[in-house]
Amino acid sequence: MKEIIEKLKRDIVGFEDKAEFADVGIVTEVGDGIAKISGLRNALSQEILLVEASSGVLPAVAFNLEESSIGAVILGEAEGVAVGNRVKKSGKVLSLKAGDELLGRVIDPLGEPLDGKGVVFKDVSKVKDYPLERKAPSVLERESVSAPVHTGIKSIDAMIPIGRGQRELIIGDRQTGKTAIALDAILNQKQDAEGTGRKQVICIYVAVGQKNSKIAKIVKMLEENEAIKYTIVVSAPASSPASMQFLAPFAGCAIGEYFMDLGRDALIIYDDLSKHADSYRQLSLLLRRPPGREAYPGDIFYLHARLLERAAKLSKEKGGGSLTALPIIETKLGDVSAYVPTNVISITDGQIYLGSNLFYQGVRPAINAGLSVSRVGSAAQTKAMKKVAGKLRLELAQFRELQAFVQFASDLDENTRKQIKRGELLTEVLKQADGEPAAVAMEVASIFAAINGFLDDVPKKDIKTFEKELPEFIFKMHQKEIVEPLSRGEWNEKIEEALKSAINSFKNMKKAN
Amino acid sequence: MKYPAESYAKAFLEALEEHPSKKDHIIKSFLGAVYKNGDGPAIEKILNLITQKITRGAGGRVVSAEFARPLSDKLILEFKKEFSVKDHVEISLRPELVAGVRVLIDGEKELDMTLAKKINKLLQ
Repeated sequence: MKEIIEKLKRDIVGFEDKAEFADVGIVTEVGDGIAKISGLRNALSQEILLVEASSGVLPAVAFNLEESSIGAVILGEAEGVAVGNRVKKSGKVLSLKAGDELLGRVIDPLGEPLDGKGVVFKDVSKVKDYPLERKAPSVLERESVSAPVHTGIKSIDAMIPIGRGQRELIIGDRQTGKTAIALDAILNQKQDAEGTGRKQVICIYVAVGQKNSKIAKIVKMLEENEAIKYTIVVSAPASSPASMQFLAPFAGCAIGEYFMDLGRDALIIYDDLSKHADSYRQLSLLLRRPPGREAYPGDIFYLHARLLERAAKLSKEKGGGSLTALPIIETKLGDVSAYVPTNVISITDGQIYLGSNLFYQGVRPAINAGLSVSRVGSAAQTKAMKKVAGKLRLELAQFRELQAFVQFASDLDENTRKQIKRGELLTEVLKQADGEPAAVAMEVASIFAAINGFLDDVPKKDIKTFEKELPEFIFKMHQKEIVEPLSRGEWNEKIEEALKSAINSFKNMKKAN
Repeated sequence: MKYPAESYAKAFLEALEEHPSKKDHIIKSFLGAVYKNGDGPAIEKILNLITQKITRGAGGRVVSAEFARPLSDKLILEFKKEFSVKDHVEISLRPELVAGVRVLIDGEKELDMTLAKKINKLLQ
């Protein structure tokens, strides 16, 4: 008690307050989280302004700098703000504190903890300020994508490979498994780093406009699978103000850049950019910016382009870190030609298209191999995966073409029947349950077995069991000669022979049983 | 608002300048027009803008002084004497400032000498 009194005494005695003129602005209009402010002629674009409201000092971001006023977006609950409130400049642009202590935490877009685990940073000396809006790395600071990000999903790693530093869009209707793919990619990062020589990927999951219950479920799932240790969740749920939903992807990106600048690899998931575009449309309309197509403002393309351009693979001189982005877009009734989906398709380096028809046929993940593409990822694919997956895409495409054709034919020749059977088999092999990402060595082994006809004599109903037991068998019996080199991405005749003999002995064992 | 406050202020001042002999009529019909357009709630904002424009046009400043306690007429006169005759000085009462005065000039520069500000700063 005495110490407190002494401290207060020191504060009172040492208190200095000089009367001097200060620049101020006055709130002239307020509503829906937007304030119109007169004065403050020297305010910067995106500068944080401090509104002296009845509920305390509230931060706001200067969005519109007009001739006689400023349009500002109030960050947080704007209930206490009233006309006549004083507004002061902070001299700072919006930034976030980034550090390793963010790992395992759930935060809001301003960096405040939401998980009830107390303050985020205990050691403030290692914390850096990262601006939410930052220029993307230049051409000279970048290098080509060279290392893969394995998602643990066979069809993606084989046919639509993603490289570290790439931007791959996940697009599809509601309830087609978009988030599930992104979460599998996060879960897989732990096993993908173990004993493979690849760096551990730090994951950032940005939830924009999602239900609180969904976010809680995702966090629980990450905790149960121990993936939260290398993951940060930035949450701006549907109940949060539009300003927070608008800022969330930029906050996540700033955290990703912190790790990238340290030379580490980061993976960021924006779930989803459709809702992000909606929140930006809301803010823009309230700020009375002119609406364009579908009432989105004219700079909606630039909004997503400048966000996704910040995903990069940095050159060795810059530390060699990377930031891989997996933006998610929700389509309405499969309409990929809507405004925001076409924008993001053209910005990203490829897309994973999920079809609701495939989903309801039981093909899960419901990836449409024909419409999905990865423009740069094949350069990052490991030798082993390249070798086995080369034929896969072609075989599946031929199968789909034949499947459509033979719907009307009753009599088929032997060759066509074989091709259809192989296609059905490959489709079965590529099916995977949620939350069960496969190690890359096991993906290679499964696809190798299917492509090379080892599963041709296995009945369709038994393929699932076969697919489950074969990797277990190889993991237990052939760790050194198959699993370890395949995990490192190696491929040679010796490994191929070992794999063939392992599959044969597994089949023989099954027959004997 | 049907029309921005800025447009009302500009139209009013231009009308006065073009027809100085119809001053009373213009003032009356201006208020009528504002209420007819449904912009009555913004009348204070519009009048403030007109005051600002007239004062600035004459080379003066708009001074808004907020006192925590009521002032005597003598003190008000003394306070107003500190400013030029071209300046428009408004005095208002704000008990929440606890003690002292807060002066705002042209809606941009503020001199805050209130106890409320000192207490807030001390508590921060």
